[in-house]
Order: sequence, then C-alpha cells, then structure tokens
Amino acid sequence: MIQMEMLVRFAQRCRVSLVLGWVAIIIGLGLFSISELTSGPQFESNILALLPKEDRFPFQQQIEKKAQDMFENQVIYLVEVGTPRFDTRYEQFLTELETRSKEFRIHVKTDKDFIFESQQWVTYYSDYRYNLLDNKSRELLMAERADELTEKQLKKIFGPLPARVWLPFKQDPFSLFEDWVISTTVKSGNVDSTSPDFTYSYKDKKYKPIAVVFDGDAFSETSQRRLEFLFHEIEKVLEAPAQSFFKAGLIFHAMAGAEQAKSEITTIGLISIMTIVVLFFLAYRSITPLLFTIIAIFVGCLNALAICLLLFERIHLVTLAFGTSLIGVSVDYCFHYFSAKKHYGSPGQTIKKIIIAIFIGLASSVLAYGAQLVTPFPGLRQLAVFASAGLISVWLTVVLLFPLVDKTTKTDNKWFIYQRPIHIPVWTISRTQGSVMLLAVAAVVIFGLLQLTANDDVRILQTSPQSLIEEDITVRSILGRQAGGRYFVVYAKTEEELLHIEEQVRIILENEIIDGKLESFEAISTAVPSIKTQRDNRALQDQYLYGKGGQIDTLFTTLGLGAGEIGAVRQGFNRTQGQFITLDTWREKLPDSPLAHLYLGSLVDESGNKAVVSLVNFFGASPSTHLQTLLENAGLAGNVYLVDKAKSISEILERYRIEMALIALIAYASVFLILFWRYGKSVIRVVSPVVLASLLVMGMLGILNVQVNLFCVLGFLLLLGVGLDIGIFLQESNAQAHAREAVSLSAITTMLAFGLLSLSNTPVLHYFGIVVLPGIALVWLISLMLFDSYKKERVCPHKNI
Amino acid sequence: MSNRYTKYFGIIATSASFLWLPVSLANNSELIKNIKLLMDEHDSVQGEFVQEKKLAGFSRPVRSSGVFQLIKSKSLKWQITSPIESLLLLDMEQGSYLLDGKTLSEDTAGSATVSLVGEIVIAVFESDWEKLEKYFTLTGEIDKNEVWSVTLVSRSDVLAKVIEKIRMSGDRYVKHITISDKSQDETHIQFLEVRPLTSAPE
Repeated sequence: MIQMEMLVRFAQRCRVSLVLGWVAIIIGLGLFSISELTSGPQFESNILALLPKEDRFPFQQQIEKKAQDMFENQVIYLVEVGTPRFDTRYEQFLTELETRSKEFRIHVKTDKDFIFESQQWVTYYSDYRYNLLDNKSRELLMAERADELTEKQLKKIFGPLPARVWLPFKQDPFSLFEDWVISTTVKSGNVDSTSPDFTYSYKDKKYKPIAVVFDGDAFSETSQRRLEFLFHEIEKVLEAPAQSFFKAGLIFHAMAGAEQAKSEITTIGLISIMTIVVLFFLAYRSITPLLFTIIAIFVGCLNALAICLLLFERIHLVTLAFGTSLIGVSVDYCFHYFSAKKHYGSPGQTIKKIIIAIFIGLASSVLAYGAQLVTPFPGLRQLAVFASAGLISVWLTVVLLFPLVDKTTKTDNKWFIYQRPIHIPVWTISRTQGSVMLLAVAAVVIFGLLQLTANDDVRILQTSPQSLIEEDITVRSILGRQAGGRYFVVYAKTEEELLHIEEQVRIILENEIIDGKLESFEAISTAVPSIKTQRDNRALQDQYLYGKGGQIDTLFTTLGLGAGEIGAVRQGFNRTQGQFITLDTWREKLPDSPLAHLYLGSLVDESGNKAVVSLVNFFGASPSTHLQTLLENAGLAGNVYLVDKAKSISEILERYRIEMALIALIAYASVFLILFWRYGKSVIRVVSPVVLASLLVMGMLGILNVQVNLFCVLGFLLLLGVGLDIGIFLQESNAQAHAREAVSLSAITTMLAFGLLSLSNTPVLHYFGIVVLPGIALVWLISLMLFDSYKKERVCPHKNI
Repeated sequence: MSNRYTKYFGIIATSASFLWLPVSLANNSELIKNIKLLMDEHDSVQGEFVQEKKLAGFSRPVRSSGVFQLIKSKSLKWQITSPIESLLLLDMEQGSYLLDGKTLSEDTAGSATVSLVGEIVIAVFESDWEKLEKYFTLTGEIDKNEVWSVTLVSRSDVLAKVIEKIRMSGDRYVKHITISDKSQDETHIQFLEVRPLTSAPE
C-alpha cells in the first residue's frame, strides 16, 4: 500500500505539469477527432466485421473479397407485371434506372440482356457442339444404347410438336446440342411456364426480375446513402395505384442494421443523459456538478472516439452504441467526487480522500474491459479500447481538472444548496437471515446452472428486422435460390486440372440433386468442359453416331434421306476435329456470361504460392458435413474446400465462448488476489457481491432458459469490472453515507445504461445487457446488505487514507 | 407441373423481357366472330391426319400419318401409325404430356417447353381464338367458299424460338395447320375425315 500512497504524493507534487499535459492531450485529441469527423468518418455496420479474420483455407482473403463482391453488391427487384399498365410502368422503372446508372454507379441487368447473351452464346457453342454431351446422352452412348437416341429423334420428327430451339436438324440431327443446352441451365424458380413471356409467378401475380449491381461497399455509409436515395426515387414509379414489388440484397440489411444502431445510440445516449440530469438535481440540487460532469463525459467520449479513429480504420457502430453506455459508467467518478465533497468540503481534500478508491475502481474496470483486447475479435478490441480510453479520460478529468476548476468550499452555500447525502439504508441482516438467503441463492444457482445451455448459432448475430428476412426468403423462393451462402473453392495447378476436378465435384452435386438434397449449382466447367471431357464426348459421338456404321445412317434412312445428305453431316462433323472450348476463348467471346465470375484465375499469396482457383456455387439444404464426407470419399478433399460461412462463424463463436469463459474466470481470480493484497480478509466483502451476483445471474439465465453465448460471457467480464467498483468504493470509504449515495447513484445510471442495452435489437448489445442489468442490481443490493456502517471501525483498516 | 418445364428457359433465363404489345382487337374480333359462325361446335372430335415436316436444308419432306382424338379442354390423343408407331397423350386437366408412356419433359429438348407448346398446339387444334390471341398477333380472311384462313405471328421473342408463325385454315373444321419455327423447320398437318367423336373415348 505504501507504493500507492507514494504515487499519490508524487502525483500531487507534479500536479501542474500533469494538468497541463492532460489539457494538451484533450485539445490534441479533440482537434483530431473534429478533423476526422468533418472529413467524413468511416463507420462500419457489418456485424460480421466484429468477428476475427482467420485463414481457414488458402487465399481466403482474396477469395472472400471476390465472393463478397459477387453476393453483396447486388440488388434484385421483382416487379409485378401482367396488365398493360403495370407492364408500361415496369418499362418506366427500368428506364429510370438506366438513365441514372452513370450518376449512381450502377449496372442494370434485365431479361433483355440475358436474351442477347444467349444468342451470342449459341453462336459460340455451336462451333464446338460435337465436344458437348449432357450426362444422360453420354450414359446412353457409353452403354451402347445409341439406337435409343435415334428412336427418340424419330418420334420427335414424326410427332406434331415443334421441338427445336437452337440449331436446325442438319447441324444437330440427334438434338444433342439442344439437350446439352438444357442440362447446363440452372433451374430458376417459379418461372411461369404458361406465359409466353418470361416471368415468375407468385401468389397469382406475375413478376419480372431486374438485377442492379453497384460499385462500392454495401456496408459503407456513402454507398448506402447514395443507393437509398436512388431506390427511393425509382420506387416512386410504382406508387399509386400500388404495383407490388419485392427486393432483396445485402445492402438493405446493412442499411437496416446501421439505422437501428444509430437510433439506439441516440436513444441510449439521450436517456442516459436525462437520468443523469435528474439524479444530479436530486442529489446535489445545483447546476455546477452537472455541468462539470457533462464536460467530463464529453471529454471522455471525444477522447475515446479519437483514439479509436487513430487505431482503427473504421469505427463499428456497435462500438459506438456500446460506448454510449460508457456514459453511465464513467459518471461514477463524478458522483464520487461530488458526494464526497459534501462530506469533505474542499476539492483538494475530496480528491485526496477518494483518489485511491476511484483508482482501484478504474483499474478493475479497465482490467475487465481490457480483457477483451486479448480476443481476436476486432469489434471487441475496439469496444475495449473505446471503453478504457473513455474511462481513463473521465477519471483523469475528474482527478486533475475538477479540483482546479471547482473553487467552491463546503461553506459556499451558493454552490451546494443541498448538503446532506440522500439516505441510502444499510440493511443489517441477522446470521439466520443471511444463512437462509445464502441457501436460497445456492438453490437458484445449482438448479439454474444444471439447466444452463449454450447456443452459438450465427443467428445470434442477425440484426435484420423480420420483414426484411421474410422478403428475402420470398425473393429467393421465387427465383429458386434457397439457402445460399455456401460454396466450394476448387484449387488446381492448371486450368485443365481445375476443370477436371470441378467435373468430379459436379458428379457429387448432380447426385445430390437427383436425391433431392440440393436444388441447383453453378460451375464454370458446365460452360467450359475440360479438354479431356471434350475429347471423350467427341470420341463417343464419333464411334456411335457419326462414324462408320453409326446411328446417323439409321436415322437418315428411316427419314427417307439419302447418302448425299448423310455425307454432308459427316463432313460437318469431321471439319470440327481438333477445336476445343478453352477458358481463354470462352472469356473473350462471352465476357458477360453469368458464370464468368466463378472463375477467379491464377492467385498468388504473400509467400509466393500459386494456384488456379474457381468457385462452385450451390443451393439447397444438404448438410455441409455430408458434402464434406462425399468430397473425402471421392478423394477431392485436398483440392476442394467447402466454405460454409454460417457454420464457420458458429464455430468461431463457440470456440471463443469457451476461451473467454476461461479468461473471465482468470480475471475474477486475479482481481480477487490483487484485492486480497490490499484488503486482507475483508476482500470477501468486496468481492462476494460480484461473485454472488454473477452466480445468481447465471442461475437465472438457466432457469429462464436463456441460452448463453460469447456475448453473455463478455457481459460477465463487464459485470466484474463495473460491479467491483461498488464494493471497492464502499470498502474504501467505510461505507459512509456519501459513498453509499455515490454507489447508489452510479448503480442506477449503470443499470439504466445496460438496461437499455438489454432492450437493444442488436443481439450483441442485447446479450451484454441481460447479464449486466440484473447483475449490477444484485451487486448493489448485496453490497448494501454486507456493508454494515456501524461496524466500520472494526472492519476497515484503511480509514485514514 | 410448372417446375418441371422451367429448365428450358434457364439460359434465356433468370429473366426475359417481352414485347407485350397492347392488343388491338377491333378487326380481329369481327373476323373471329365470323369464323366461329362457320365452324361446327363439338365437345370432341376425331379423325385422321397426314403430317409433312420440312426440315431446314433438306428438300424432301418427312411424312407421317395416323389418327387423333380431341376432347375439348380435356385431352388430345395423337397416334402415329406410319412409318413408326408412337402415341402422344396430352392431358390438359392434369398437365401431363406422355410420349409412349414416358413424360416428355424428362428426356427431350422441346419437351421442356411442353407446357407452353402443348397449350398452344391444343389451342390451335381446338381453335381457341381467345387463347391464341394472347400469344400471337392474328390476321386472316374468309373467302367466298366460306373457307377461312388465319396467320398467327408470335408476339414474343422467346416463344418465336420455338413457334414463329402458324397458318391455319378450314371450314366447318380445321383442315390445315402449318407451324414454322425459327430454325426454318415447317410442320404441315392435314386433317381428314374429321367428325364428332361418337363412342366414348377409352
């Protein structure tokens, strides 16, 4: 203890330089954050940015970046059509979008683009048609059942239905190209098959899709503002009389999340400040303490923001929302100062009396918040930095500046009209009452802990309002794109090897589709088969269809066509010998292919490792573990990585829940040891309220069937930091009336701050709230029971600090 | 039935826009009314057919013939007897399209469009002018012998990929149908011995 007192004396000696230094820092950081804020701060609202970035598979960062661009920077509109008026307005809607495309940096894709692409597509592929076969035809040929192809063809030609879409009979006599085209196309949801028009039907209405691809980041505020304006403007076209439409896109979720976080920040901030105002008037009946406190909190928030801006590229909105609750915590030091001042009179004397108490309080809070720094979660680190910087700033302001600016004395009635502390009772409980209570606590804790379960599902991070989620589901079901978010990454040394591996992956996926476990997939190798496959396909057609003794003779003879005609077709077949579809020509000729984005090309990482990489996108419910097993059984696991974002996030959450629980235990233990060093046996009284409250909260969570997650565990860390303050302050001041007043006021503000968090729709904040709110309330109640002011002489060895 | 047939449009797909021209019915409704007056109304008919398919690039047409039964709004039975045996059953009520007992959509290219093509072909056989107007622009005339002829031109690009144009003619019954597609194939069907269906169909 000697060291701490020496430190205080040393600090007093160089107070002037400390004060000047602190003022300089405040001004510096203040200017910095003002300049940052005016130049447009970078706020992050992506809840996933709170999670650690881990390298789970090669080139992860590069691949995820591309995958994100693919999935995130797109908005799909489904606009109702089907009546002349709606059709006209659909066109109008489209025109509006197209005329604004440059200004808003968007690219609009409609059905018209697809038709254009498909014609280009056929022109390109028809040159290579003999290299292409769909699975069914290939199986027939391999099983030497080529005659069935002839039979099928004859029935079609002799039948009344027109059945040919892409190439004339002469160029594709067995319709194999037609069949291949169909096999490569993705099934696409509720396409209205009775309409000549290419529309989707849903609940007796018809819809046409429009895809809007935008530049920029879905989570950046600037993109959000730009596009929100655009969407608002174009949707006006569909108003009065209302034409129904659906839209889906990550950006809508990002916008909703940002909007929610912002409104929560405002609400939490406002209510916290209003309560503080009320409490200050109740306790001090004067404007000065309130003014000082608001300045201290303002300095705290500004410094915290400045330091975060210095250390992090972007500030997460959750950090800000959480940081706002800091107002409730940091106001503690102000309460202690003013409550103690009622007792001690002069500012200098007051600081001297409380400095050690509030220093230990600060240290334990910073320790509890700071423990989050060791997590790999960028978001939590930011929270830790924000909270610690804010608390330290408020503390320094109280300790260094308050006594300097506050020139009032106890006798100065102008300043403190209300001198007496609010009476906070101390409940003295008898041994029997205590034992009964402990037994009750033990029962709740044991009963609750037995039922306590954990849930690390990624959905605890879900912030979007239900209506948005439902609209998303509707759009995805109309378009036939259920349960996305998973894909395969395929690695290879060469393009040919890549395509070959993909073809093996496709066999797995195709079987899953046949089994009804998957709905569809997208892979570049459907558009560009490997050279080996192309050779094989051609060889099969040569052997069974076009070569000597092939089915072409039977087919043409039955149709009454002669040797000359057969010869012409054979010649056509032979002319295409040795021509292959390659990724290069394909990308050059069909740059806008919907599959083009799946090919990522040759990637190089920092250590110079190279690989040719592509993605295979699939939709459907087949479990990832099952698909992984299939990959392993096929011997593909070394070259193919299954990315399941939701699953990997859940795994991260689970791992860190367990790790953080350990860290929390260590934090509780180390705080106990540090305080034991100062308080000796009395440490029980300082620490037991927090420990009992934590156990009780855990028990209650179990009884109420609330599943715990990482963020609850972090809540317990915060409870430790904040809750210990109460015990420390009461212990250090012998539980005098002014200290009881101060801890009660701060308990109320803290409860309010976290109480508001528990109402938050942002799950991360909500889980912090439901732990800290009842926790602090319990700490407060238990502390007041344990600190019996009449016994202060006996129990506190440090009354003369 | 809808999902099975969606594959076909996949590539054109994910979306497609159409030139849905506002339909002007003024002259056509007069024509249709007059044609309807000329035609017999039966709930079901039967008869024989001769089909000639001109495949693009080949001069000689491919011939087939057989018998048919049409039950209005219910089913079409198309039985080829020469030069091969084949039975096509279009069931409009259940939306099933069977070729020799096998569902068409599963293994033939054109069949993926069956729900659309089937619907149109049935509308043609039944002379369901209202339905045809939805998909085609319609022009035609009636000559002095009370023989009518109508040309249907596809309204949409996507439909035109399969059926570009249809010509039909007849008197009390439809007698000739010619279906042209974009690959220049032309299917000409002549109906013979068309008469009301007497016995109940099997």
